[in-house]
Amino acid sequence: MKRRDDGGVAGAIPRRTFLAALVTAIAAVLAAFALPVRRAVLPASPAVLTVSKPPLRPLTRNDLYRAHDLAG
Amino acid sequence: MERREIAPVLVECTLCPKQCRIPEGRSGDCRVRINIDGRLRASTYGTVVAAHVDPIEKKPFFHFHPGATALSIAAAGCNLHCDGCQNWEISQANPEEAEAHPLPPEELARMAAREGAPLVAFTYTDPIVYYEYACDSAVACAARGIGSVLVTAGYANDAPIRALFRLVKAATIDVKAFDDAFYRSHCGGGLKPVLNTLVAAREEGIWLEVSNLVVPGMTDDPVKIGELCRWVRQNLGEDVPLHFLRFAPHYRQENLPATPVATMDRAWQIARDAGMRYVYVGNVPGHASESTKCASCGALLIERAGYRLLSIRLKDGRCPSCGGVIPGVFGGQG
Repeated sequence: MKRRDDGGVAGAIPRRTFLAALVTAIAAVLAAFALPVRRAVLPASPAVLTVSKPPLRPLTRNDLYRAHDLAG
Repeated sequence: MERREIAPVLVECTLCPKQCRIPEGRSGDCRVRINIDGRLRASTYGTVVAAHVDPIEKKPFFHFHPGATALSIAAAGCNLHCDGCQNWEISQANPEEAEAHPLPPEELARMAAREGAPLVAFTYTDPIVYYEYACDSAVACAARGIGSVLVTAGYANDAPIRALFRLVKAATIDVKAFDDAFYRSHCGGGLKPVLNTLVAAREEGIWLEVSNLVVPGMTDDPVKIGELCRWVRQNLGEDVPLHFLRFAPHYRQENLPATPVATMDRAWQIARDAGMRYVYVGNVPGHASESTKCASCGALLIERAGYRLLSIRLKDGRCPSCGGVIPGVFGGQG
């Protein structure tokens, strides 16, 4: 087993780095719980999403009869 | 002084038991319901990915206006992710990518009238995730004298699903399996909320039918099927039509075979032995149980071939042979 200069084992995560990562992770979890949560009252406001959605093509008669093989 | 909100706002969607807490700009597990500017939005509102005029028997409804047609529609997305989903191309699609067509509620109602369909069915995917659209559409259809029906897996919270039930005439609720572990590992849901939805449908007084997809090696356990039947009988009544649907390989279960007909026959027998009076086997064209027979005297009442209605021999909702009342909503058809 090869020792590093700081006394740790070569290839292992240094203790200080590990502790810092652990503290960061715990802080992230605590922060997530601290975020304000807004409960949506139903029914939610209907809205058609426009972001990144391609322009919608109107429904045609061909579309109307395209779903014959769907279950339900 | 101008202010800027730094802390992001999570919106909790209270529609289904997942109760997703959705960060700004992200969607819930269903991919449909999105947090935009701190408000929950239904991204598929007023758009459909499928629309088709189907016989009502296909939903399936066997005791609700037999032979009627239903303009059947779906928006993209689902709050369950069943491994064997038959409509996974649209139910598991990202609404942003699915080819959708605008069909606002009023236009849907007009289209149903134009197509001569007395009913509109919210089906194919789960209407739970296009909840607001289904609600508004049911109201628009009712204004034109068109009834609405639901085909759902019933994985919803109590208050919203009851509100939707009050707007529709009937529901077919699909129980994936009488097994919570199966729901968790193969559907991404749970059994208890579905059972609650079944009871809610009964309490709200709409017409109710129950379906169950029998998947070989997954949901064909006779013990579990027996438990399902006994629960339905005890909580919903022996007259609720129960449909066992034959599985065909789809989606993540393409490796499985189609359900043997003998397995379907066994499920039918288990249900009958449990006291269920109207039990059907679906997706097996020509099966003896696809027609309705009087549970009291065995007389043939509604003859079907697949989804096709051949004849109805009801008289004022009663069996013409023994006079027994046949549960259902038959309108002027018998």
